[in-house]
Parts: sequence; structure tokens; C-alpha cells
Amino acid sequence: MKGDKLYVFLFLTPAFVITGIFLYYPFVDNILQSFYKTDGFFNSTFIGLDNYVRLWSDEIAREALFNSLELMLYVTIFQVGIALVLAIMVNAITKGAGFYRTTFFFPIVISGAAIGLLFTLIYNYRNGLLNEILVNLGLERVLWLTEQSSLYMVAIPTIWNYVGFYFVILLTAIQKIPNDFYEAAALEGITGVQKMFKLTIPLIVSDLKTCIVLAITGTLKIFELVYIITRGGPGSSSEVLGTYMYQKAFEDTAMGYGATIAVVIVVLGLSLAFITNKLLQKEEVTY
Amino acid sequence: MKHFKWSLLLVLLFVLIGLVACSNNETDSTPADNDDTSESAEETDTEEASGEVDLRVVTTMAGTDPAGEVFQEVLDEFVSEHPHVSIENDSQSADAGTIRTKVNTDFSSDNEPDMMFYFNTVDAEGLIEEGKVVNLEEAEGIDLSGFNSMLEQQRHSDGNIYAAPQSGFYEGLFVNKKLFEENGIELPTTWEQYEAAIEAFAETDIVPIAASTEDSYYVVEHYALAAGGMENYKAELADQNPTWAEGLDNIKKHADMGAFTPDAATIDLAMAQELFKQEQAAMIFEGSWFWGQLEEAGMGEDVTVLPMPVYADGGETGEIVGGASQGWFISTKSYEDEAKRDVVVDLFNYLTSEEIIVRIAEATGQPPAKGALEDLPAYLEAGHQLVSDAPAVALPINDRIYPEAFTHVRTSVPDIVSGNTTGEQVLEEAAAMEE
Amino acid sequence: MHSYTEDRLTFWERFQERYFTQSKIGKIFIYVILTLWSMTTIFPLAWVFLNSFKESREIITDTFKMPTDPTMQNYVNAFETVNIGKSYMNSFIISGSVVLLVLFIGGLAAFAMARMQFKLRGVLQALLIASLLIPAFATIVPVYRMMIQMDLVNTYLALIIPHTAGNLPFAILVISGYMATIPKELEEASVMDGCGRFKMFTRVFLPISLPSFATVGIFVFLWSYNDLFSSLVLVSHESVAPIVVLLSNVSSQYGTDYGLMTAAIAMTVIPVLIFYLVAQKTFEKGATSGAVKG
Repeated sequence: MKGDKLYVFLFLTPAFVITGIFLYYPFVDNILQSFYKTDGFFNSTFIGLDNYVRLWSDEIAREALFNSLELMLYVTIFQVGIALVLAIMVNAITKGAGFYRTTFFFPIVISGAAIGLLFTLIYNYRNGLLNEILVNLGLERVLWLTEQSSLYMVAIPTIWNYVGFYFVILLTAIQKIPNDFYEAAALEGITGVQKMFKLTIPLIVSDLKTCIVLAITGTLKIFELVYIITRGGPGSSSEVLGTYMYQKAFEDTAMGYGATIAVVIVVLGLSLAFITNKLLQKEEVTY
Repeated sequence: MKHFKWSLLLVLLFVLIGLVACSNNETDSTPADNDDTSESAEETDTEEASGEVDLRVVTTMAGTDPAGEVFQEVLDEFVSEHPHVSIENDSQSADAGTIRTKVNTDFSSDNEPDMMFYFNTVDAEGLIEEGKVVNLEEAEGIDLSGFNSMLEQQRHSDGNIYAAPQSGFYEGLFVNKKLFEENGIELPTTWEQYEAAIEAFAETDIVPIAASTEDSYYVVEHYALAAGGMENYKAELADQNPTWAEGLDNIKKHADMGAFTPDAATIDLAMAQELFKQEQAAMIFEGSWFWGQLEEAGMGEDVTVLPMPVYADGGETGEIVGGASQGWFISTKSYEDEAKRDVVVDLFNYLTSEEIIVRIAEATGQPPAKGALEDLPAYLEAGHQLVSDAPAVALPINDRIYPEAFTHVRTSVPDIVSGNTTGEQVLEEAAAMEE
Repeated sequence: MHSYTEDRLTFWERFQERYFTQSKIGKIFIYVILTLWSMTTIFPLAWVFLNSFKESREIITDTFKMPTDPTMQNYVNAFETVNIGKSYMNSFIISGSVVLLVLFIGGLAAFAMARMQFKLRGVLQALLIASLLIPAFATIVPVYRMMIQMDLVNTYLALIIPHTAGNLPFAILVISGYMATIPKELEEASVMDGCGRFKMFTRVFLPISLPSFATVGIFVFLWSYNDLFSSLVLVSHESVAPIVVLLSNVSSQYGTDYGLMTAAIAMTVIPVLIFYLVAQKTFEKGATSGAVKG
């Protein structure tokens, strides 16, 4: 359309002024911090790229990075996958849809701290739910959080916690599809599962893309659940970038090094989101 | 133009929303504040001219900290005796972890509180070096008399005292006497007995020691103390003292003997405490604040606290980790403010008077920095005895070394236990972090 | 990829012809799956509510059992320790304002991002995605400094502004994603009717996108409402502190009081559920109106 320029400006300005001042500017400040060695708040010395060099050779950071990526893979696939299946199923039924829509949402409502405590109590060795069941069945206790398993054990609550979030977004998207599309499809004899692959999914690709980007960015920031359930352990087998950054910046008051990790999180997430965007671009369909 | 009207409306609406939000906070925050602790900025200006003083006090006495309630009462009493003074009690529970960020940012942004009850540890180092807090010994009108040895412990490495203590704490080996008796095991007063107790309990269904090897603050400290005695315990990290390494390796040795639960690497301190409180574990390394929980669980009588058995040459069992790591600071900015100085000094002397110190200490059961608590239950009395009998007391290691380095030591304990690394190697890495 | 799905489809087609459309088994299968999942999601809420009637100790030892001796003590404690009514008010003023601001400002921006062509569009989009990745830890200290300078610490605005800024990128991305797929014909029709851009937004795009506004509103509310970290730094004072701060005050140096914690969680969850149910109504209305117009 012509003559949009003024409106583009008017419509975008409030949003970008607010985010500019209260989100981007503080983050730029944070990027600057990453070039300093900060010991508490008062001693900071400019050290150039030393923090980045240090990060490069920091074995725990590397492990946290790989753990984050692995976790991201599981979380993206299962969160969005399960949410999509559930959304399509709820859309297919008439009776009780409201009930499911409400209950699927429950885990998001409860704060991460409570979910963390719940899973701590499920996995706990001495009194945990899983081991209580095993003991009652006359079996030996199992150590659920080991170096090998801890990342999966953290992935489960993370996935489960946010399925409802993507479910709501995808269901909204599916219900937006005009009815005449389905009517037309029905006339051509396209129904059921076929309808799902040929009609529903192509029509919500852009929303799916949004979900995947949100899942990727969300997982990179994960902190609370991991911190509460495993504290990044045993060893650093479930350490992720979020927990490592928190530890450096707030427990160890090494703000500069923490800032460096934050920069890495943003750069990494941005490149992944960019790749996802490129990969999914071709499949996008508009009405 | 039509469009233009719309956009104007939009901007107006935007401003309006902002205003509504603004006015909301103005109307809501001031009158609803029953303790009249917060005054809006304009009021302050006009009031200061007529001799009114607004103070802001930051402490960790908040939340369900039993001292919180008493502290607010104490402040209210001060305000009622000094009608021209109002005090904003900006306290925040210490375990949320944001208090350090807040205090540091406040001080570095020219928004310092007038007085604060804060960690006089490595946390205050920056504040002291920058001259943000007052050297109490040289400050006019400040009364530092009547304190016990806890005051001397506050002395900074530059020779000055910047903080006055409220009460102290001690750490030690808390043992469940009942479980020891039931299983016919001797209480561990020597290293040999300690190891024997671990071995004996490992054969039962009772966990010998409730501990988190990730949050291993107290475990690390006590094992270092046992292996090196007080002299080596006080060593610098840079020394890479071999007895510290020996202590760390002892943790592995005991873990292999079955001293901890298999999930010790992932439980947190609260879970470890639960194990002990449910009588599923016989021993735990904790601090004097733990008594509050034990009393609540109704097991104060069954528990006693012992000093860590020290086996090192030159060391002596009875030496303990403890002291007073928090103290009252006065910020330089408010001391130098003529309008505030007298009131701040008054408030300081009031809060550090024997009466108030004992009153706050009564709420927590901790040994006070002045005077003494009366009518204590026997088990608390025993703890206070532990402190007065101690040949030497020193602050926890993490209060005096670079935080990042200590975190590395503490979080490496699970790796030491699993055999991936050794105490010596961990210390070397930590020392490198400190530079 | 395509031939693969096609192959599967023929199999599915037959499968589905036989079992899904023509019999009730398909429906039953769907209900079984949905019910199983809803059981996992109801479980934690039930766990929180049941445990809020237990003593702290029982929560650890018998966490998955019914309370043997139900007690209201945790709720009594919660009301005695802190002024919970005031905190509710604070939470609603803060999170409510955040939601309104985010939806209004974000909705306009999303409209521009989705339906207008301009040079910087790609750059801005990347910027928005990047901002989703900025952890709150990374901005809190500079934000706190700014709030001190503006003398806003311990006022509602101290939290409303950064929360609005933090949630805008999410809102813009989700709403513009939704608006992007609204049929072109609608836009053209409205231009024919002589609608200005703002009218086009309020008359056409806003009503059709209402479901996505509701979705975003719910999540923004939740995130703002549950954000403890920023709240502790920016609005810790009792007179303005939201309910999460109160919840964190429940833990103390004497260890975590799980009983009080579950009671506090139960009390924080209830308003959110009500909010969700209300928003869901809007969302259904929007969904049907969208279908009618489409």
C-alpha cells in the first residue's frame, strides 16, 4: 500500500521506544560489561576480549553449551510436537473441549519454583514418589539423577511444563482457519488425518514457526527448573547456559563474565532462529 | 485529516495510560502505608527544612526470619521517641539472593541506605575500599563499648572497624543422640570415632551424614578444619594448602564408605536438612540457625552439637567455624549529611545497645554480641558453651575468599567424590581463578 | 519429505476410513489420549492444593498422600505473616497495566509489522527475536540504576515499564504471526470502504485477531505476575510488592516452610485461573467472529 510510511512510523515508534530504552539499552550496557573483569561492583578493569577467550577454554561452559543445545532439541521437538497433536485432537472434538483447554493450561500457571519442588520430590532417592513405588513393589531404589540421566530428567518437566503454552497458541491458530476451507475440503472428500496433513498443518506453518522460535529461545534461557531440580549436577552433567550465567553473575559476583555468557546466549539463539526461519520459509502458505 | 485525529487520540490514550499508572502508585503507596515508612520525594524536601529526617534502613531481617518482627517493633519504638524521624525498613530476606545485587547497585548509583545490616565479608570489600561506609572507631559519637570478642572479629584487614555485630553464629557437627544410642554407637569426639560412626551407620538403614555435595559449604569447611587444624584452616587459597586438599580427598574417602546418600550430588541443603529432621540421617554439618528448625520439628532435645574432630598435628578438637559475619554499617553519605548525622548516630547507638541486641538475639537464639541470653534450653546453652570454650574461632572460608573460586571448590566436590578429579587439582584451579 | 507423507497418508487414509470416521473408536482414542494428558496436568495442581493443608513435614514425608490431619494453619500463617490482600492489589495493578500496555502498543506494532511493507522490516524482526533471548539477569542492574535515577524505585511504574518492554517482542511476534495469515481480500475490501489505517486496525484486524490478543494477554499476565527476580529488585517494599515477593518472603533463613509455600502458591494460582477462564471466553468469541468474517 502507498502512503504507509507515516503509519509504519506511528505504529512502531511506541513499541521500539520502550523496548529501546528499557531492553536494548540495558543489554548494550551488558555487552559493554562483558569486556570488563568485575569483582563485585566497584572494581572493574577493562580486559578486552579476555572474558571471551576464557569462555572459549572454559570446560564447564562448553558442557553447559552442549547440554543447552541437546535440551533444546528435545524440548523443541516434543513441546511443539505434543502441543500440535493435542491441539488438533481438541479441535476435532466438540464435547469437553473447554475442559481440556482449561486443564492443559494448569502447569503454566504454577510457578517454576513449585514445579521444581514437585519434581524434586518425585525423583528424590530416599522418599521420592518413584522410589516409594519401587519399594512398595519390592524392588530396589533407583538413583534417578545420575550423570547419564540428569539431562533427560530435567527435560521431562521442562517439556511437560510448557506444552500447554504452545497448545494454546496452536489451537488459536487452527481455529482461525475459515470454515469454508474445511467445507471445500469435505466436498473433495478430504477428511480426518488427511485433512490434518494437507490442510491444517500447511495453513498454520507461520504459527508453527513462531512456536519453534519461541521454543528455541525459551530453552536457551531456561534456569529455574534446572536450578531447583539438579542444581546443574551431578558434576556439571545438567548445567545449562542459564544456570551457569546465574551462578557466575549473581552467586560469584563476576558480572562481567556472566555478561559474556548472556551475549553468547543471544548470539547463539539468534543464529538458530535465523536458520529455522530460512528452513521453514519455503513451506509457508498464505490463504 | 481523519487519520491524524486517530493518531492524536492514540498518543493521548498512551499518555493517559501512563498517567493512570502514575497516579495509581502515588495514591496507593503513601496512605496505605500504616507504618509510615515511605514518604514521597516532595514531602521530604519540605520536611527537611523543618528538621524532619527520613532514613532508609536495609537489613536481612525480613520474611519469616523471627528477628524481622522484633526489628520492626524496635524501629517503631525509636520513631515514637523521635517524632521528627521516619524510617523506611527496606529489609529483604537474604536467601532470595537479590540483596547483594540491590545493595551493590544502591551504593554504586548514589542511592545508598543510611544504615544497613549486611555481610561484613568479602561482600563488603568493595564498599569499604571505595570509602562508602564509615570507619566506626573514628566516627564521632559512636559507642563501641561493651561488645564481646565479636567486635574485634569485624576488624578489616586495613585495621579499621566498619561494622558492629548484632549476634554471632557457630557451625558444627549436629548429631542425633537418640540414633547413636539406639544403635550403640559412640558420639564422635575424635576422628577415629567419627570414622567408626560412619562405618557403623552405613551398615544400617540410617544415612551417616546428611549432606549436599554440591552445596557443600559446611562439609568443605569442616573437612579442611579436621585435616589441618585452625592454623591451616586460616590459610589463603593462594597457598594451596595441602591439608585443604587432604580434607577434600577425605570427603571422597568417606563417600566411598557410604557416608552420604547416593543422590548427595543433586539434593540441596533443605533436602539434606529434611533427612536429618526425619531421623533418616544421624549427623549433619550445620550452623546455629539450624536450631530453629530442629525446635519446630520437636527434636531439639535429641540433638547436640559437637565440634568437628580435628586430627591434624598442632590442631585441637574444639576449634570451630563461626563468628559474626553480619554487622551494622553506616553509609558515609548519610554520616556526612549534617541534617542526618545526629539521628543516624543515635539510631546506631540505639540498635547496638545491649538491650536491643539481646532482644533481637532472643528471637533467634543466636549468641549476642553484647550481654547474654537467659533461660536458654539446655541444648542451646551447650551451643553457646561450645563458642565460649573454643580455643579458636574463624569465619567460614567462603566469607573471605573470592566467591568464584570458592564456588568452584564447592561445586567440584561431586567430581572429587566420583573420582574425576582430586582435591589438589581443584585447589589449583580455584587458586588460578583468584589470580 | 512430501512423498513420504503422501505414502503415510494412503496408509492413514485407509486406517482412518475404517477406524476413525466410520466408527466411534477414533473418537474414543482421541478422548483417551486427551484425558491421559489432562491427568498429568491436573496432578500438580491437586498436589499443591492438597499439600497446602498439610504441615511442612508431612509434605516431604507423605507428599503424595491425602492430608491425614487437614490444617488451615498454612493459610492462617500466610495471612498473618504478610498483608496478602494488599499484595493481590499490587499484583493486579502491575500485571494488569502491563497486559493493557503490551496489547495496545504491541498490537499496533504487530499490525505494522504484518501488513505493511517497509525497508527495515527484516531488521526489526531479527531485533525482536533477539530480544526474546535477553535474559532478565542481563538487564536488571542497568534497569535498576535507571529507576533509581528516575526516582521510581518502589513505585508501580518501576516494574510496569520494564515488564512492558520485556514482553513487547513476544507480543509483536505472536500477534503479527497471526495477522500475517489474515486473507488479503479483507484488507483490500476495507481499503475500498475507505478505511484509514487506524480504522482498519480497530475495525478489521483487531476483532479478527482477538484470539491472539487473548493468548498473548494471558501469557504476558502470567509472566509478569510470576516474575520474582525483577520484583525483588525493583518493588520489594511492602506497600508496592506483588504477591510473588510475598511468596518468597515465606522462605527464611530457617529453611523453606513448604506448607506455607504451597498455601501461598495455591493463593497465587487461583486469580490466574480465573483470569485465564475470562480470557478464554474472549478467545472463543474472537475465534467464532473470525470464522464468520473469514
